[in-house]
Amino acid sequence: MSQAATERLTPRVLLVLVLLIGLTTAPHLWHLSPRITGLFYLMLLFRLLMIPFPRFLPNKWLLFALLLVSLANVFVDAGLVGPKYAGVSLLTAMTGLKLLESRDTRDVYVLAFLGFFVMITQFLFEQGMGFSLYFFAISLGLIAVLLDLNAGGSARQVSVNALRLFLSSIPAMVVLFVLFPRLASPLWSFDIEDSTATTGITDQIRPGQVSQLSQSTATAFRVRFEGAPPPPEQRYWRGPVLWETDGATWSAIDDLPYETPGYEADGTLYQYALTMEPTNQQWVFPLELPNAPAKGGFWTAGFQMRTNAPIKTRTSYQLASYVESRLSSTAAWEQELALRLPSNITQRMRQLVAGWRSKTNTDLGLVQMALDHFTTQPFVYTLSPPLLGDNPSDEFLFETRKGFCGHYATSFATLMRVAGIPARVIAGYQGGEMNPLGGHLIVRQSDAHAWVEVWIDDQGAQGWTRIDPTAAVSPDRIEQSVAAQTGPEGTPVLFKLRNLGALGSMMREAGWMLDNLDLQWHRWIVGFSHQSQRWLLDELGLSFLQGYWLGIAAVLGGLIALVVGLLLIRMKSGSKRDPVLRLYRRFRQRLMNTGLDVPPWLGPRALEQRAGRAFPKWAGDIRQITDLYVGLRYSKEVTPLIQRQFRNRVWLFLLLRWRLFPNLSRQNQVNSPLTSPKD
Amino acid sequence: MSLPAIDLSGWAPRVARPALDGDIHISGRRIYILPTRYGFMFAGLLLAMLVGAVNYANNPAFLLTFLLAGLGTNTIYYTWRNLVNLSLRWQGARTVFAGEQARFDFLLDNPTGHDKPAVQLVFKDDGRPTTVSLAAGTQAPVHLAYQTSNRGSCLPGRLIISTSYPLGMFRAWCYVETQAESLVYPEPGAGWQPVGAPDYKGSDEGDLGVGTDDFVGLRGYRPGDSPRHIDWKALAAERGLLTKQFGGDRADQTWLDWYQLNNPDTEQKLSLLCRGVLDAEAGQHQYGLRLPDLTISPGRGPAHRHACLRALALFGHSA
Repeated sequence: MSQAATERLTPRVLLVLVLLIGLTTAPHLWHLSPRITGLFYLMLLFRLLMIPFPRFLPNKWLLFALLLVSLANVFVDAGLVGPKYAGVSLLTAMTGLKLLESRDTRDVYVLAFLGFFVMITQFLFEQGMGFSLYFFAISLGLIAVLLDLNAGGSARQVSVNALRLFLSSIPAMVVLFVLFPRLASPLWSFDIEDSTATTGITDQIRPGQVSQLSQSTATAFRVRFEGAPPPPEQRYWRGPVLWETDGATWSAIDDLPYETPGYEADGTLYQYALTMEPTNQQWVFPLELPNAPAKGGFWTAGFQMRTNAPIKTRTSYQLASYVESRLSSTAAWEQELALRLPSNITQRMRQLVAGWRSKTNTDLGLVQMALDHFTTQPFVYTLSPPLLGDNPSDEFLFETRKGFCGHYATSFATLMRVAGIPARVIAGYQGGEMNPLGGHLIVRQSDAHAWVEVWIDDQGAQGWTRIDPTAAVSPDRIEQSVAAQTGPEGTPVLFKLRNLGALGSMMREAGWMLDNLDLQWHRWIVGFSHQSQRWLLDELGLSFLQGYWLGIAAVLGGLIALVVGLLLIRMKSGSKRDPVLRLYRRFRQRLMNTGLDVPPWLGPRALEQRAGRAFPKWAGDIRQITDLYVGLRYSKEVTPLIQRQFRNRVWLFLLLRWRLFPNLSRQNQVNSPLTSPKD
Repeated sequence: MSLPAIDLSGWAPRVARPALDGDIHISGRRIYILPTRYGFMFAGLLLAMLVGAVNYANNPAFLLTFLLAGLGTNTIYYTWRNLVNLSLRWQGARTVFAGEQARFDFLLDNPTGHDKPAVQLVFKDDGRPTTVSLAAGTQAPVHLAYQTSNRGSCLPGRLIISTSYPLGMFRAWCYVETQAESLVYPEPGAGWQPVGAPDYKGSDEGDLGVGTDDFVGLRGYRPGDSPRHIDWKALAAERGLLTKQFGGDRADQTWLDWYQLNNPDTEQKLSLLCRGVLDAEAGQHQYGLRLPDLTISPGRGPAHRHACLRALALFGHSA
């Protein structure tokens, strides 16, 4: 039916809506194939350009053709890339088509709702704090669009009202989130996210590889200690054990038989919760040396901790470690494995080792001599070492002498094997930064490290002993974290300095705060599971709420929270409320309430005369009030003093004269709108 | 959609009526509120979002869903608030001919402290809404059209005041019985044939020259004569102050007679008589009206025209 709709579909509404839809879909650029997102953004761009020219929008035949094209596109994509994202791709394609079809208010609503639905699909891929805040901001925008559509007004008015609407719903959101029943297991399992990208340390070291991680400040994991954390020189986080070398690369061996080693606990016991970031790998990095495998994990040969399944979401592990413990017994094959030499041992390496052997006959002594060699010779610790060829250890030891932990560890281990001491390389992390705000240790990818374990069988030390050649060359590395940096070849490493200056420390504090917020977000919101809910309800004393009762409590609680939200914050009127006008209206209303006939078209002066005649006793007051009012309304001098005078007089009139005011005539008393007859 | 989908005025008569002082006050109890189709769409969307969130145990999705659910429910309050305490007063109507649009004038008052945008008013029988936005503490005139079809007293019937502010998810509405009323003249028919020649009545005393028609002659100036009637040329020719005299006191008179029409249909007769009135007034004749129930003696001018047309409009209707 042809009628003027109250909603106004202005270009502003369309523009903001289209832009918001574009922003909502943007993260899919990383998730979906360019085929899908490309077509979508093409359609969006077209719609954007056609906002001033609605006549050029495609008609229904062209739209139908485009529909077929889009469907074909999605099918082709599903065939090529795999059907996993077909649903999300289809949704994106349909949203693009709807954009082209948007003409009237119904389309605006459908688009806005599609936008919300696309947001939900985004949350299937990522749930971080920043990501979520981004989408909450877009939701606010969509609400503002709907508000603008219905009521219009200045942009500022619409935005402020949308914000207030938004904020008044937050208590309900919190209450429903806490109380809404959670399932212990999903209704159906449909794993959408299945990226194969891995992050962090892998089980191979080739000198030149670990340094990529040294550029990354991304968090590898966080550790929360019960009690004080260990000192920096004891913060070795054990990762893959690398047995095998081909002369250039050191790698781990899968499927080695596991035999429980002897574990001598020594040193302080640290108990901690280690929260791994998703890596898509199965490594956990406990503090050396843990006394038990993590839940959901197991030991493998070489005493490395692995998990049953790849870590795809942020997961916490409860662990305990004795820092000075060592692994005592070992199977014979382990030692044999740890002595295998690659084929490219050079003559000068043998001569170097032979030189040491001649000076000492204990294994420990030889180790010490090797370490001294690194300290006394001009070795440089740098994150930008020169590239090495086929025999990196040899080149590094005798020619370049510039490298970082990977170089030192692998060449040291090689030398040890040449000397007949079983040695293996451990990859992992070293160090970590305390976040004082959160009370936890942050270990970043840039803290990736490699060190050596040698088998010592002397009376001084028995078992696999940790030797860190990097500590000999650059003790700062152990004391402090490495600042990620690049530089020309051979630049010495810059460690994180303690004194950063005002701006630096402010940024560091900000970094800690963000890290802490992110952690809390993941702990309380993303990780809010069935167990978390039960725990919270127990803490609040509401553990009796189960099953149906919980659902009912959720609804009731939500409604109460809505009311609370509305009481706290409401949409306000945009127009500047004129206090003078309002006061005068109240004054006028009061006169009307006495029974005086005051038609709406009566001006202030006429009112003054009429009221003055009716109530001669208060004619003077009435005249003063009217004078002030007329002055405020019509003259050029409006000072705060006069406004205050006016306000005081009117209030005086209203309050004090209220009871003393006689009504004109009881019989003729007119019912004011305040006491309307009951219908 | 602007009219509420469900017409509750038949069996749940919560209707706002004028108070004794003529103002119609919309109180909270008289307001109905129901979801619109966009509200149902939104509910469906939320359900789908909730199912997705429950299945994937995706907590940020829960957060978004609950936020939107709270928001949608909040709008119930705001939509209701957009109508509460509005005050309506009927101010007048424009008299029209049957078949034209009658216009009813109202004054809508928002004495509350917050804005009330997007308030819609429509007569239940008419279907064309008018939208008005009221800032806090202001009044606005509202002119509502109403399609007339019959002559006589036009009662537009129930007025519906509704709104779906702020998000269009819910519609709140209120039925109002105004006491608005308008007079509708009969539709002027075509083809009025004046019966016979105008009734020319000669005056026994001749043309007295006290009318406003053709120039008859000059006379001496009397104090009080309009300066427009002074013959200035004569004064310039030094013939003294003279006043022009105009005749026409013996005006053309027409009788619009019911009995002289031979159409069997009452409405057609009235229609023709109406046309006759309009033509006579346009031709500046004097005209009188003779109907079975009353006679109006000849006259001219807007008041006479209105009296005649009113008689025609209300013919056969009790007052």
